Amino acid sequence: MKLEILPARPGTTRGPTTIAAVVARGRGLGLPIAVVAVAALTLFVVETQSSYVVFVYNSVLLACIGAIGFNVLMGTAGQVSMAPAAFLAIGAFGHVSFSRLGLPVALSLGLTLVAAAVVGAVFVLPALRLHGLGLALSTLAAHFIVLHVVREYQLAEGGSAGFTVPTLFSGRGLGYANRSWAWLLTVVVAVTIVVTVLLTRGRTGRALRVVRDHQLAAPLMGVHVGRYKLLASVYSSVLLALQGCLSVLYSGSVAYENYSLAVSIQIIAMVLIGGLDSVVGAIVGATVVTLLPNVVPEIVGVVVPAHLTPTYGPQIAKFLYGLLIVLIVVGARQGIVGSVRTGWRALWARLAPGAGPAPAPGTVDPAEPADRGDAAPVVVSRTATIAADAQAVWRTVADFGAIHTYFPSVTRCVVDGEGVGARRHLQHHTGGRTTSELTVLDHDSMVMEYRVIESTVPIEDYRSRIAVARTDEGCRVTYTSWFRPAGPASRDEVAAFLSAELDSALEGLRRLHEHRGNG
Amino acid sequence: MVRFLVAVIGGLALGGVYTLIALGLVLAWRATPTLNFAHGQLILLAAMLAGYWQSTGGSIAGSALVAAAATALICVVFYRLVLRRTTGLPPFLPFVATLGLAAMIESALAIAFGGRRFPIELGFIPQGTTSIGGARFSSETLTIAALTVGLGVAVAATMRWTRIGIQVRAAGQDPVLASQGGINVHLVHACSWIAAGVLAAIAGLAYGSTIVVDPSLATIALAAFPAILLGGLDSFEGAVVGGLIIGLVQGLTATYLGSSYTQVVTYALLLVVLLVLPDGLFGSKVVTRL
Repeated sequence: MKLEILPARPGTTRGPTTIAAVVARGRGLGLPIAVVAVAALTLFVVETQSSYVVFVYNSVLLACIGAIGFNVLMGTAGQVSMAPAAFLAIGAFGHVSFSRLGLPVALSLGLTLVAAAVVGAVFVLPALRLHGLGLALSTLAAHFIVLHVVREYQLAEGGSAGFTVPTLFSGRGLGYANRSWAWLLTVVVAVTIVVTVLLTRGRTGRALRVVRDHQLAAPLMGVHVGRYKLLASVYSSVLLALQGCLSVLYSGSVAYENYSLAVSIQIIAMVLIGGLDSVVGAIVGATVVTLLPNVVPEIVGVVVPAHLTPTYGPQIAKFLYGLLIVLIVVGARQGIVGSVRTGWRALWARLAPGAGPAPAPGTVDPAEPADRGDAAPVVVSRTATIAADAQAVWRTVADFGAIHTYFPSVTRCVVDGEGVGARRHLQHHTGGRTTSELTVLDHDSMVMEYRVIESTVPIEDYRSRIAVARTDEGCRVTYTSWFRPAGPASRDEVAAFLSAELDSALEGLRRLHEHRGNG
Repeated sequence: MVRFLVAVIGGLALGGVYTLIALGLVLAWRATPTLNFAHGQLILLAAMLAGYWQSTGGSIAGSALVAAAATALICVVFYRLVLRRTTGLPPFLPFVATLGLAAMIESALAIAFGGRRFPIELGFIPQGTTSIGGARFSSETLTIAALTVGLGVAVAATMRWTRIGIQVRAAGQDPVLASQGGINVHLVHACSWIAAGVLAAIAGLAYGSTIVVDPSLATIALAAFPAILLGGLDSFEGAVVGGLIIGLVQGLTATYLGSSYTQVVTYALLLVVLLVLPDGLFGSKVVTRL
């Protein structure tokens, strides 16, 4: 048996760079398209729409700044913070307090962002060594401490109604101010998009994702978990504070009551609904959640008497995004953007010839071992001949919950559900855990496939196929795995490791059946 | 001295309610590793329903039953439809789902009841005042403190010494081993969530009877997060002790610093616990192996 690193399944390899291929992959063009699209939309809104629509559009742009920043913390680094509203408050009240000291706007903005970065760094400290919900709890504390400070400040200096501060672009009418703000915010959002995409798609982004997905394994790959959690927290804090500061300069009024926990939940909803770990997702989510209270009254107005819609509208919107959060956690964890992308790819795979799903059993092509770039998955395929009845071996393989009887590194296996869609939770002898889902179970051609949903092993997009074929001496079992290495270990190292694992599994199957006799 | 007594007894009365809330949170946590952020909204729902039921002429027993049934139903449905499907996913996802549930309950209550406020009368509670060490307390507060602390201790004792308690702890600690030991893990988890809902309803009625129920009631559960963290997140004894300590700290803070400082002192304490004592007083040490 020799180790083969096979080409990826068709459709995911890097083919010739035709326009169709680029569009199909959707890579490389995203950033310029996003920036141009935002600018074009702003031009359209500013030139054709009423002042009120421009105001709503500006609210969406403001929400985008914070959501894009928060997505780096929650989506890319996988840390839930309960304090986004508190950082909006730091932005707002920071600017108020600095400008009341007589500082110019630019200096006040700069100092405010520095203050937010410091607070963001301090409150991530308890979460550096904890995992899971450490950050959620420490930022809950941050929320109440920050809100206490701004409340005391407001009651002492500004009175119960809050502060009124001078706005930008005032003095030439509301319409002029709204339009100028639209362009200012467009520039800020475009810069935010570009910086965030550059930050999260290179080495830093991969490190943040390793912290999110394989926190225990990250240090082994030279990723300093604490440093990257700190980076994500500071980055999102600064962008949220920027949003808070700009919204004060836009509206001109501040009151601590506007920064409740409900606002934090709203920002979490934006990131989750749009799609975790996606800049476009954050934008879509911010748009949906910001527009819901504006759109819902129009819709419920059909059913509910008009005088009640102002009361019910915001509450119905809140109910809807609460429901959306739950639905997305249960059924569509990639959010709106991810679901659309999956649908689009499925459609493309159906329309474009040769871009179909995995090859049929037995047609794994061993050619072309050469350079495929980092994007292509590694394929490892191992075969063993077992002198036992094919049906008996197949029964073992087809029993989704029996992997621990032949896979030596699996110490425990528990299955949830039955048939295709069933999930099994494995524990490895190293203490790691893996959850996988049965995707194919074909008793006629004796093929089963599964994919890994969640694992402590630093491997992504893992799926496997086990095929049993009847031969004269007994049967031939082929165990094939497709995956992407998620750590800095080289593809060859990971492939060699996995190949040894698959061999040990096939050996386990042989021992199980040959010692038992034929059947 | 009188001031100190007022602070301590007032704090313990509050601590009794925190204990019940903390126990509900720990029960849910032990069942599904999910910090239930919607617990406060469940408490509010129970108090609102009970208050509304009474305002339409219902008895206190009936209103308690309606409240407990509603919260238990929401809990078990949420467990079955949402949490069962998040097994094996990163732990923050089910937590975020409880945020969604919180938003749903809160807005549904706002649509149903608007800004209405309800009193809750627990008929069997003695009225009047009692004098302890020269300070006068309302008998109602004292009775509720005694009842909630007693119930909290009883629940913690059940979890520690009875067969049911062992099953709940086993099913939470190692579902695979527990199921192989003959425990119906899914049933135990579902019952844990139902019990958490019922405890939320009791806490809602107990606390709601001392104030007038309005939507801000939901924030009371937030003070129980420091309590369970102090107790150790997964410990029932810890929930009782943590709840009482947080109640005491709030009572003392309100008396000596002023009531506007209670929240900030409570959460500063939470931060200190997170930094100094991340496993809490009674929590199991987290050991991770690669």
